[in-house]
Amino acid sequence: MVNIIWMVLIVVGIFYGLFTNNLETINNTIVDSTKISLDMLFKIFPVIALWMGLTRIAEKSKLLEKLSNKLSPILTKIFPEIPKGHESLSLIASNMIANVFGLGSAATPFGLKAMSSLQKLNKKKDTASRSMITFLVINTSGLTIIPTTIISLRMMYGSLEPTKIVFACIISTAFATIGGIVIDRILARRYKN
Amino acid sequence: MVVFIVIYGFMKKIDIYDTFIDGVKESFSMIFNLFPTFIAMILAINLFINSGVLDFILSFLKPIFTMIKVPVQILPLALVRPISGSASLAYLNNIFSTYGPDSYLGLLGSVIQGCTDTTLYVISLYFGSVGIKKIRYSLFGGLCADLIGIVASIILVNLLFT
Repeated sequence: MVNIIWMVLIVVGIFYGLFTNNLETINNTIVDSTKISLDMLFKIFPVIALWMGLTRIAEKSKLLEKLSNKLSPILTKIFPEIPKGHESLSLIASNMIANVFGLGSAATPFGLKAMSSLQKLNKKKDTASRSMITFLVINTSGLTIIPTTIISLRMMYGSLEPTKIVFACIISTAFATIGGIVIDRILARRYKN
Repeated sequence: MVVFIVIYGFMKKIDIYDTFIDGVKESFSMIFNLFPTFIAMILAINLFINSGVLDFILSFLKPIFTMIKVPVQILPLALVRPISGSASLAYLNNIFSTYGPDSYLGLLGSVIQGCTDTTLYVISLYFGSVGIKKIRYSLFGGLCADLIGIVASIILVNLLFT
């Protein structure tokens, strides 16, 4: 699947560029993209390092366990395949909590750790498990309650009411998340075989 | 959050300093695993956007959007949002500077930007970090969630702000 997406993006991009005589842009893009990805990686690296350290403390002090105990009645319903009390549940809970408070940068390391913990449960190591997909679908739908980046961007452009959009954002995110969970359920059933 | 975690760990009498260092060490291997995925995905996404394919697709979708009375100017944002976070933020910047953050378009753009996350990025980041290649229905599911969020945003903004 990744193979197909990757190939389509590249081949279509290059051929369209050739077709429209945009060879220079294509060449520049190919050369620049490694630099851009390195830049992005360097941007998130310090944040990941910091939060990985803090997560470890939260993990050892049993803080994560406490948090996830509160969320686990809901989580076990959403993730029926994860055994009760497994560490991935507390990591998923922390990821969600960080996301909800708009701490996107803090959420990523939790999410990555949750992923590697789900991978331990996964039987086929190169194929996504059902729990992984559920987790991703919930994650891609945002979960954000306070969209800090957008509010600050609105302030930058001199908005009179930068926080006016918060309520609408919460509701539309809720729609996306709930819709995502429902669709994930349906798809999981269809793809069972 | 930072203070809370540190104090909580201290009160539980664990070796907070060493534990922190330990956790940070782990981040190196994580970044190392991410690097290849990052290069691969950004190369493909940028080729797709910069070559103009995206604009080409947009020109096809325009008539449909005018039919359901959704402003065409919002289309690039809605389409790019699941593919690239920085590209959609750039579009939002553009909308703010042309129409103003408090205009109908500015509000709609803000809500669309806020309602979902970058699906393609999240999928390649999270699956890439653990070496998963067969992603099954996750992309489809994620994009469906995005679509629901975007449709909900359009309806909500129309209800609340006009």
